Amino acid sequence: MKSDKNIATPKEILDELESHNLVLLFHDLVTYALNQMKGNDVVSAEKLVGDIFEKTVTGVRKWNKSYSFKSFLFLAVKSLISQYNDQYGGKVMSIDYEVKLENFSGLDSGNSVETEALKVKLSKRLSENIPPPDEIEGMIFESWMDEMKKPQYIADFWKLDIKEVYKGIKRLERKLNPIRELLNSKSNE
Amino acid sequence: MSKKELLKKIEDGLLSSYLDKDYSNDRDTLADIEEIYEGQSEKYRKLIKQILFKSKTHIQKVRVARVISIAEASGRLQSLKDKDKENVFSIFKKHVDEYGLAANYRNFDKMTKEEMSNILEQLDLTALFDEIDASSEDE
Repeated sequence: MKSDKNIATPKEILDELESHNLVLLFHDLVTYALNQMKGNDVVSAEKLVGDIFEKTVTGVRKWNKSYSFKSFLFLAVKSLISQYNDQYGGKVMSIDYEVKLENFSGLDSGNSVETEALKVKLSKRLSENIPPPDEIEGMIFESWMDEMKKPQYIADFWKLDIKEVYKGIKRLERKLNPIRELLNSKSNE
Repeated sequence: MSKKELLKKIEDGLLSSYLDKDYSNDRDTLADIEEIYEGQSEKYRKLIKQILFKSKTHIQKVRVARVISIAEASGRLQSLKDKDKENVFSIFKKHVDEYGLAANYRNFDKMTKEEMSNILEQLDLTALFDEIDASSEDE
């Protein structure tokens, strides 16, 4: 049996923990988990994230250093939510997309008129939120639909301050569940 | 573009914002925390303390377990060496080479327990003994 040199040692994990602002990271992981789950069960989201940290520092969950530490944590949240989804069924949104972001194959495979109509419908659904999205949230949402993912690209494209983009994403994140519901529905509505 | 593809784009955009965010400790994120967390930061600070404590105690546990296993490994290697010096030496040398460790191979016979432990500490013991065992079985 050969050891995988990419698996972090306990000391490397501690070094990584100490180099991060863990309060900020913990909070964002909880927010990400919470918004991927249907509902607002903060306690479950915090438990899930706490569990990931605990299993990581005690060597149960292995961090493969091919990924950055924060990628490892966010992808772990995603993976556990899929399991949570299996366990609790309808309570949680269906997460059904590939883990590797960069492998996304791309653009229109269908009718672009239909796609544009769907985008308009989604923007309309988003605008029905209470409170409605502000201008920056709308810009971010449009950018995502046009496959512009990186916050810095979005900031450059719309000539926005990067901090404003991050704050906008935070606000927008809380308004995405109706969009998920619409896109997960089988009807053409 | 299907609904599924469009949903993926939105979820990717959201995840990408987290993965691109700077969580390093040297960045001044205090303002972000105060603004966003609305009193949650104290609760998370306590949780983080517990996580760091567990991380440190786990390192200690691994160290203690490893010291015992190194001592056992060293003793086992000594006894194997007495039985089949040439074969054990060649496998040991191969593993030392793989890890790029400096070792005076000519003194394998005279290597003290401490010297051997120092080298073994840096090797994958399971892989080393698996190979030695497999080689003994072949013979």
